[in-house]
Amino acid sequence: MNGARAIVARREIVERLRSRAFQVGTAIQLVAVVVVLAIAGLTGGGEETRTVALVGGASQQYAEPLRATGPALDATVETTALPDRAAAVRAVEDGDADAAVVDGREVVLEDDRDDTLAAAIQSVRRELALRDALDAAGVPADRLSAALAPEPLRVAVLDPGDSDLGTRQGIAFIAILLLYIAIFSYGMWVASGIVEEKSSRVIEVVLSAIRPRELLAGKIVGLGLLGIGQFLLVIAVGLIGANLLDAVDLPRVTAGWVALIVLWFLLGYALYACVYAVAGAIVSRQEDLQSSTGGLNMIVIAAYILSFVAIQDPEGAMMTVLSFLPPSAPMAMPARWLVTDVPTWQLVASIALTAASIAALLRLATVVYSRAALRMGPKVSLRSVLATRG
Amino acid sequence: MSIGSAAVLQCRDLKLSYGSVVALDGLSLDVEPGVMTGFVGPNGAGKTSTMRIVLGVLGPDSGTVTWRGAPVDADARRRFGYMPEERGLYPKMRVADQLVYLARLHGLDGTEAQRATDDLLDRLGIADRADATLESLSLGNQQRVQLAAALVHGPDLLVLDEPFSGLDPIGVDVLASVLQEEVARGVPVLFSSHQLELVERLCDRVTIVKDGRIVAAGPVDELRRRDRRRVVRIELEGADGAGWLAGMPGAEVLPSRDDEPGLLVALDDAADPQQLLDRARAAGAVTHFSIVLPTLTELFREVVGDGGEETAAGAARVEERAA
Repeated sequence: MNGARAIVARREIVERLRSRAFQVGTAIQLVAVVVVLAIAGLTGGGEETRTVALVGGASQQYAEPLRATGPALDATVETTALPDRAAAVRAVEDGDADAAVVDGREVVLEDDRDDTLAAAIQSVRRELALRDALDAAGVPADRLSAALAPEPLRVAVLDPGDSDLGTRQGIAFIAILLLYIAIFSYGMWVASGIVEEKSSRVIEVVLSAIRPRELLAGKIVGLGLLGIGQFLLVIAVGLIGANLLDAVDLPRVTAGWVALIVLWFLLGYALYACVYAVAGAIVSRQEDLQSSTGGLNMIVIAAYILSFVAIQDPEGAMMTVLSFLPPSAPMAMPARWLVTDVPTWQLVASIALTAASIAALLRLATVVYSRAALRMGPKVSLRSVLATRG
Repeated sequence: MSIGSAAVLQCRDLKLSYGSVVALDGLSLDVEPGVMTGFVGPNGAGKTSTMRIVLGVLGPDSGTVTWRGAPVDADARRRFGYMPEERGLYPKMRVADQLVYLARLHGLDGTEAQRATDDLLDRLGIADRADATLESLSLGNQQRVQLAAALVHGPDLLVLDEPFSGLDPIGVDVLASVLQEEVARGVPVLFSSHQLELVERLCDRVTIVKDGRIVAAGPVDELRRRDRRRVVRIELEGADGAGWLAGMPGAEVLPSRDDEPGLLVALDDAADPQQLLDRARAAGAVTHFSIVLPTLTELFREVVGDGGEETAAGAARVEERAA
């Protein structure tokens, strides 16, 4: 990058860092991430604790076996002794207990009859009944415990990857969402930055010193660097927060994942920055930006929604196609890669295809920008810009 | 028109059209070192297009621009200073920051840019506003920053498109003295203006453009003397208006000048001043009769003819007086 581009890029970064809109926007994103994680941490995810109130002596024998059902329920089961049925009902109603066992004869639940905890209680009841029956039949103590707690079966997992498919899919959803937000907002930065220079008319002063392509390249690079900084900051806060709040079970986040998402962020940003630059170059006022970016926004949103839908079936043909098409590849390919095994050649081919599109779009953007940068007034059509000379 | 060999900036045979509209029709222009050149012409005559071509923000269909004998390239242009007709800087950027930024785009390093910015803000009397955003400045101060943007890199050539428009009288004086300082340092200045009195006062040379071509160019005094018309100033007692002149061939009543009382009459080659004097004496008592040089405004109206708005307005005034 030569001197002029670096100077332009530096200005873009410094001035935007200083702007109130950027500071507020970053703060809102960080707060949103923390709030989402906090809600996730409070409502689910992680290790849940389920409490069973036990009333009467006959219920006390449930305590030990119930606690042992914890791993099967994916929760920690605690028991607490209460004096009578009324207290137990109150505890369940207030949410202090998730269920209550009264005198070994009745289960009290708040609303869901099919609650897994109720099933666990019923299972404990069968276990206790069996133990009593075997005990009464005079089965010796060692054989009794062997029957009730046999050696577990050996487990053979045929497709070990599938064990955290759900989590991987969840992370893919988040990756698609983050890439979509990043492409959309940083693309709009480019468009509105270009219009800002046109509407304030400073463009002519700048272009008397440097070439349009230098200004455009410096702007795209500067905003991209700032964008990736903000993007990584949000992701870092998200990962650190998720760990601290124990909100979600993160499978090992490898450096490879981060590198791949960052790579696709760069490709997606570069691709759309060029097109947003064209949308910005053909208008002179911020008010007209809405209409000139409208169609483009629809493409970004469509690519996002299609990727989002297609990732439900990561092996499907739709996902495969989306991960190759340059407009959707920056969202679909990393998502697909997170969920399934993508052949290396497909990954390389998709990157190459996107990179080639970027090269072509950059050339288009440079031509349009050079010709339209000094055209003031109403929106000019792309065709008329391409038809005339600068 | 004279093509000075001393010219540092030479535009040769510039042609430019927008579709079917011809903006420049073989325009040639010279700017000499250490000289303030006024660039005048009706709206749409091609002044802004010419300046944009010199600065490289616009490319001509054909023709050349040379600087010190060589075609103007990016390096040479980086040493030019420009104030576009459409003013504008970054509204939310601090004054000093944007001047440093522009100076750096023009090739100064960080330290030089900072020093040049400090000096210039001091010189223009807005050093105390250095850290304010541009939009928080008064209009007058914003105009000073705009001028600073053209000057901050110590340019080798200054090209200013309508620099005086919108300035209050104090702003005009500040700008005029800054431009005179630059010229005294040897920097050639080319500026366009519709304020012809100002051009006449400030400029050593003037170039008049019409319909994309130069119609007159040279030192202001020389052009005034060279005018083929003679302007006669008559003071006449006993006759109001110019009705007595009606029907005299080759005579045209000019708008009055503030500094010259009486009636101004332009005579073309065919008209005889003696005949004019006879007519005047027939109409009343002549107390003053002299030949004066045409002002730049009068010269402008003559060479530009009836193409531009100014000319039409001027002609209307003349008819009013004659009626």
